[in-house]
Amino acid sequence: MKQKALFYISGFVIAVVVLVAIAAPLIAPQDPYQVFEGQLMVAPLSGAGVNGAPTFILGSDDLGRDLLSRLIYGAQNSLMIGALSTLFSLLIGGLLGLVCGYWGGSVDFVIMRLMDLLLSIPSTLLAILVVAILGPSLTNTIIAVGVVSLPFFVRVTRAQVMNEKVKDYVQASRTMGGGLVHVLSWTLFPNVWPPLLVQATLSVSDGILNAAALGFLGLGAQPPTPEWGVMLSDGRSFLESAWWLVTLPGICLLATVLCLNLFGDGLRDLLDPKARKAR
Amino acid sequence: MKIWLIKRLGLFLITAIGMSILSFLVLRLVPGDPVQLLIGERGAAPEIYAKLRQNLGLDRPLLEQYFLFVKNFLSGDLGISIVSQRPVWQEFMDRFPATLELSAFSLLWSLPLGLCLGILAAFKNGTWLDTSTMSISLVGYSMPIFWWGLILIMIFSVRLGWTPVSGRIALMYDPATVTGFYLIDTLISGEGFRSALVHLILPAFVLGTIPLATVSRITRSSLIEVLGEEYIKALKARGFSSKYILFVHALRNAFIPILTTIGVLVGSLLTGAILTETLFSWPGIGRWFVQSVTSRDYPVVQSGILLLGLMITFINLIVDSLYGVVNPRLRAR
Amino acid sequence: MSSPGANPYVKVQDHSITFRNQKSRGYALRNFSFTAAKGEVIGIVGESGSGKSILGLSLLGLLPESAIVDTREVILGGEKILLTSKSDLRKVRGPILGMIFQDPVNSLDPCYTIGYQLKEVLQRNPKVKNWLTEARQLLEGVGIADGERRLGSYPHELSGGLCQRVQIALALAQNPKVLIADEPTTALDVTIQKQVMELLMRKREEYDFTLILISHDLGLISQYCDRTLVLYAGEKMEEGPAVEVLRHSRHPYTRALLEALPYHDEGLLKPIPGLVPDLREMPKGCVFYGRCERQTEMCQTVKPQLTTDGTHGFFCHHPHPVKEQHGASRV
Repeated sequence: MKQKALFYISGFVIAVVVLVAIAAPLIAPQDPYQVFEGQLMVAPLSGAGVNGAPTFILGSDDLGRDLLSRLIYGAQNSLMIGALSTLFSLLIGGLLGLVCGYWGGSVDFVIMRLMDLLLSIPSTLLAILVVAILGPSLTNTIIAVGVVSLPFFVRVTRAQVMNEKVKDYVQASRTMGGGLVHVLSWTLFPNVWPPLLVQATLSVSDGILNAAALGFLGLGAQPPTPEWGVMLSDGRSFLESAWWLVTLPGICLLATVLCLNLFGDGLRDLLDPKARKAR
Repeated sequence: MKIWLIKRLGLFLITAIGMSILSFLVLRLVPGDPVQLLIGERGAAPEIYAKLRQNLGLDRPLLEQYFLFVKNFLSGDLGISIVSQRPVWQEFMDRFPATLELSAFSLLWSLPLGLCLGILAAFKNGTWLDTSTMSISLVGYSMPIFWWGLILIMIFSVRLGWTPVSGRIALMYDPATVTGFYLIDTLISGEGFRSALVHLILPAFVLGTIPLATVSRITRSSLIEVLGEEYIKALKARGFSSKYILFVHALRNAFIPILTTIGVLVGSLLTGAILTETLFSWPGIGRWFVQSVTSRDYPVVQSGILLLGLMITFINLIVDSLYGVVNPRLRAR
Repeated sequence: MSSPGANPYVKVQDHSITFRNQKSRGYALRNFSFTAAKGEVIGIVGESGSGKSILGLSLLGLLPESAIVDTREVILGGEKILLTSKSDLRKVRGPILGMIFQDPVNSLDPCYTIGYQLKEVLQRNPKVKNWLTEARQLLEGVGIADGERRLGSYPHELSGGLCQRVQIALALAQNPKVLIADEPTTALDVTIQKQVMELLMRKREEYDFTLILISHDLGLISQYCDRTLVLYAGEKMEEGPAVEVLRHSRHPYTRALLEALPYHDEGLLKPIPGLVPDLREMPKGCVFYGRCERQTEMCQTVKPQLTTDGTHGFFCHHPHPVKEQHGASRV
C-alpha cells in the first residue's frame, strides 16, 4: 500500500515538474536573464521591490535576476538534458544491445568489452572525459551524460533480446518467413520494452544529476544559462549572505531526482516483478 | 579455479589495452588542433608551435605514437604537465595520498554503518526501523552530493563555525611527509593533528553519504533474498538460532552483490571524489583532474585517465577474485 | 513439558492454521488430529494446496508471521510441546523433530562444504565426542561410499540424490524422535526415488524414529506407510491402515484421487472436476462439496462426522459401500 502511494505521489510531482518546464514562458514571472539593477540578492518574500522592480517571490540572485524564474527555466533545462540524453542512449544503446543479443558472436564480444570499459569508469569521470574531448556546453553535456548511461541500455536490451529470441513465438515468427525487421518490430519489441522503460526513467534521473554535477564543475551548461547545477555553483560564493541561492536549486534538484527514482522503482515493481531487486 | 583466474586475467588485459587506446585517443579526438588549443588565440611563433607538436609526439604516424605512449607509460614516463611543467607522475603522487586519506576516512565510517543498517533492516524487515532506514537511504541515494556538501558547509562552517570551509590543514602547519596521510604525519611531527582532523571531518562525511546509502540498500535487499531461501528454512529446522544463521550462513551468501557494490564504490572513490574534492578544495587527484580538463592540460588528462582506469580495473580484478573465495559455487564457472 | 509415559508417542490434536493478510483470512488446516506410535510410518497424502506441507513447518514453528497456529495439544516423542513457547520450539528443532525438505540441492547452504554442515550439526549434539568419525559414519550410513572425499565437497558438486542423502544424514545427526519427510523424492529421478525411500526405511529401523511421510504420490504411500491420512483443503477426509484406505477407500475423494492416477487400471484416467475451494470462505458442510460425485443437498450444510469401520475412519455422509474391491492392484 505504502509503495503504491509513493508511486502515485512521485508520478504526480514529476507531472507537475514537466508541466512547469513546458509552460515555463507562461508561468515564469520574469525573464530569467533580465538583470534588475540595484536589486541584488533580495531575500525571498521581502516585499515589493523599489524603483519599479517586481516582487521576487523566491528572492533575486547576485546579479539581480529573479530566482523563481531561473528555477522554472532550470527545470526546463534539466528535464531537457535528462530526456534528450536518455533518448540518445536509448536509441544507440538499444540498437547496440539488439545487435549484440540477436547476432552474438564476435560483434557481441567487442561491443560488450567496450561497454564494460565505459562501465568501469566512474560516471562523473566518464562524463568529464567526454566533455574534455568535446568541450563544455549544454549540447555536449547531453552527449556526455548519454554516454554515461549507454552501457546500461546495451546490457538491458541485450539480456532481454537474448531471453526472448529463443522463445517459441519469435522462432515461430522466423520460421513463418517473417523478415528481420518484422521479427524485431512486431514480436521482439513489444516484449522488450518494459525493462527499457524502467531503465529510461532511472536514466533520466541519473542524467539530471550528472548534468547538474557537470554544470557545478563548470564543465556543463555555461552561465548565464539558468541550470540548477550552474546556479548552485554561482551561489557558492554567497553561502553567508544569501542562503536561498544555494538552498532552493538544490531542493528542486533533489526533489526531481528522488521522485524519478521512486517512480522508476515503482514502475519496475509494476512491469517486471521478477527484477524487484534494489539497485 | 586456475582456468577461472586465467580468464579473469585475460579480461583484465583486454580492458587495460582498451583503456590505453581510449586515453590515447582523447588527445586525438579533440576537434581542431590540440596544439593550437594549447597555444590559445594569441598564436605563437612557428618554431614554438613545431616544438610543442614534437613534445606531444604529434608529428609521427598514429600507430607509432600509440606504441610510444604505451612504452613510455610502462617505463613510468607519463609526460610533462603543461601547466606546472612537472612530470605527471610526480603531480599524481603528490595528490594521491590526499585522495587516499579522504576516501579511507569516508569509507571507514560509511561501510560499517551501511552494512549494519542493511542487516538490521533486513532482519527487522517490515518494521518501522526498516522503513525509516530505507527512506533515508533512498534520499541519500538521490542526493546531489555537491549540494549536500554546500548545505553542510553553510551550517557547520559558516553559521556554527565548527569546521573550516576548505583545504586539508591550516596554513600554519606543514607536516613533513612520511606517509602522506596528514592525520598520521601530524601525529609524528607533533603539531597540527587537530587541524588536520577538523578539515577532514566534513568532506569525509559528505563523501560517505552515497556509499552509506548504496551499501545499506544492497545489503538489505540481498539479505532479504537469501533469508527466503530453502536452506535457511532447513537450517532453522535443524535448530540453529536466527542470529547464528544470519551471521554464519545468510551474510556469506548475500555477500557477492555487496562485495560488487563495495568494489565499485572503492574504485570510484580512489579515482578521486571529483565533486567532494572540488567542493572542499581538497588537494586530491579528482580536483586535479577537473582542473587539468578545464585548463586543457592534455598530457595530464591522457595519462591521468589511463592511470585511474587501470586502478579501477585492478580493483575490479581483486573483487572478482574474491567472489570465488566467498562463494565456491562461482568457482566452478 | 510433562513427563513421558502415559502420553502417546506422537499426538496432534485439533490443529488449525489460518493465514491472515490485510484483506482476508484463509485457513490452511482445520481441526486436524492424528496420533502415531514409536517407529510407525504415517503417510499424509493430498493434492498441492491441501495443507500437507504446512503441517511440518507449523510443528517446527517455522511458518511466517502471517500464520496463526491454533492447537489443543501437540505431543512429539512422548513429550508435550507448547508451540507458542520459544524454549519448547528450540528443543524440538533437531533433536525431537527432524525435517527433510523437497528440494535437496537448495536445502543445503551452497557456501559451505558437506563436512562443515555436518560438523555444525554434530557439534550441537552433546553425545558426539569426535565429529569427524561421526560424520564419516553418517555418510557411510546413508550410502555415500567415498564419505571421506565427500566431506570436502560443496552441494553444487553433488547430484540431487546425493544431496538428499546428505540431508537425511544431517537430520539423523541429531538422532530425532520424529522425522518428517516432505515430498522427499519428488525432485529426484525415478531410479533414485526408490533408493532414497529404501534408505529412509532402513534408517527408521535402525534409529527407531516415527516417520511422517508427506506426499502426493499414493503409490509411495501405500508401499511404505503403516497408516495413511488423506487430506483435502485443509481437512482430514479418511484415515486408517494404508492398505485399507487405498484398497477399500470409502471416501469419494480418496476414490477420485485413485482414479486420477495414470496407472489406475479401470479404464480411462479420470480427473477430479473443479478446483480446490477458495480457502478464504469456510464452508458449512463438507469441503469436498461441489466436486463430489455422490453429493446431496445435505453435504452443503451439514459437516460430516467421523465414521469408523473397524480400524478405518472417514468423514462422509455418503461413503462408498464396503465390500467393493477397488482397483488398486498396482497401488
